[in-house]
Amino acid sequence: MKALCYNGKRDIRCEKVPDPVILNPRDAIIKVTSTAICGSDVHIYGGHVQPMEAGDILGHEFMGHVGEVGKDVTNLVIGDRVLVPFTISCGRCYNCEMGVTPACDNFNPKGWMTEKLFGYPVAALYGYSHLYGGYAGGQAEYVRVPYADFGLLKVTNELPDDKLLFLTDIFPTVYMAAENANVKPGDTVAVWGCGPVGQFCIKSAQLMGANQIIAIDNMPERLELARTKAGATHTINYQEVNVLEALADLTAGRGPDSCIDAVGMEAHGVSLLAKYEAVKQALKLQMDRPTVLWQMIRPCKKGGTLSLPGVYVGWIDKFPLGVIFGKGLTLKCGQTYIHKYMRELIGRVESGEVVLDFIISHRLSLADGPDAYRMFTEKEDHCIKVVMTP
Amino acid sequence: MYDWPEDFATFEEIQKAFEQDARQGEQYSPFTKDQEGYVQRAVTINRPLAEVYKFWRRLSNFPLFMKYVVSVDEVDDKYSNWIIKRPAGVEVQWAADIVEEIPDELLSWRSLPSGDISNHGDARFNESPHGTEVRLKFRYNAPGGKLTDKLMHLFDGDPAEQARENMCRFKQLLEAGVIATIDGQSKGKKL
Repeated sequence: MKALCYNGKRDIRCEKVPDPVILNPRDAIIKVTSTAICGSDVHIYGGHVQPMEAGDILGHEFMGHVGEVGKDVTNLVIGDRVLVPFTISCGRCYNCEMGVTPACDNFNPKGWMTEKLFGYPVAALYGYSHLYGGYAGGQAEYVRVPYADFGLLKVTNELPDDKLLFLTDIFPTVYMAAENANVKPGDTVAVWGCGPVGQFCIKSAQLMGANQIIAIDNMPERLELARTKAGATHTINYQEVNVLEALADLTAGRGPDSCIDAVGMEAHGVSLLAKYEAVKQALKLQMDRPTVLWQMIRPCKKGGTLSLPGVYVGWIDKFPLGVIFGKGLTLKCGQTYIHKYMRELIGRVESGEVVLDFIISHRLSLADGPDAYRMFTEKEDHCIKVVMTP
Repeated sequence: MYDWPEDFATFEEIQKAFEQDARQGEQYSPFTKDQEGYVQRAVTINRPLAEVYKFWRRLSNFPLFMKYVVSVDEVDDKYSNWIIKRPAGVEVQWAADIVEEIPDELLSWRSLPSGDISNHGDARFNESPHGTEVRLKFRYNAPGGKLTDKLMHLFDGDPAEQARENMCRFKQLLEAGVIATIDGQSKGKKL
């Protein structure tokens, strides 16, 4: 089969590799029909996510049809159309039973690697380094899906892939981030970053009844998209106006109730979400306040909430914990309870209440993968989201 | 994996400091007083106590989750013969005797003098609101010399680490029904 394989920094190739096979009785093989490049894949492309091995197959945002099932997978049949959640979770440990599937105890065959660092082993993901389990990813014609009987969500509607694909990662991730941000009807929500994650954050805040949704970025076309498609009530181009002053003015001195960092901080962070070049520009702009997170802390209202769908894995220096303490802010983050949210949100997509395909800028083939990675990373041709078909 | 600032303590140093503090407090007491030289590992398993104990008590199940254990032959209720072998590696054997058994609570063993490795230990079981807690503690003595080297190879260089891994595999097998693996999955060619 064809698959996009890591071969080193900025070296991704469409290679011919052996077809995957069932390794465990709870496995299934999925024939991929659509697969996206996530912003977090860009970090792998840039060589920041390690350890990677040459030949590792990438991709964790994909869907397709069931091609083969292991003998313990009794709830799926060949040909079923399915969505694949991006974390690999057993469904039977205590954490999974509580719905906290990214904290599954049983899914990372290389758990000892993260155990050394975090104290306990953490999530395995498709195609996201050996720290995260070393599983082959979904930018391929076929993928082996472990614990298929628990994870896979059968699609019973006739909607095209484009409208469903983002239920496998980005939309649930962002929706949970908006819930983490404690968005209530009538609130003001500020969203930093208008890549795919930021766009869906705005959408989610709208669904939760926010009164004011303020989008912050520096790229006019992304701010335009936020205003016209995602539901932002105001946009701030941080290269043109002072963000703090603008937020103070828009909220008449109260500050946003919720601030969402749809950017992330560390270029080498293991992000499940998009993180774009615009961020780097923002960081350069704010030399004395070197992070988006830091920029959120000051304007946020007293007693407000900070939510980080942008992912942080490394260490931060000069973190103003005292300000968070003094203002009584709540800070929430973490990987998505994807199994739960995917199932909760599919109804909203089916009913047409939520439309997700507006962020797709490029539809390409798997063979175009190496070019797609470059375009996405460099934001050539206003590239914001790439979906590939094998 | 991550870049630490050079003037920063390492992760291990910080952890050690915490452990030191914990010891100074003398609040936490390990489940066994005689820690020296023992390998210990505890896991919580989201299955009923009786089921977990029963699976463990059936010693012939050990090859299902314990790395390199080729076979465990249960001679009778007390005695068993163990064969451990790494692929293309040295084979070691011992016979074990169950010293004490309290069903659903404790199983302790010791090896008989005839074996390649002398070892003894126990596994303790109890219920908790989050599942069955299993605490394994054991000690081994290799005869020294060449065989020790071979032995360390058998344990991938670190018996404690391997015990951790084996307990995780035990948990996976009982909870998930399978042991997570990527061995044999497809990948591109190595350069």
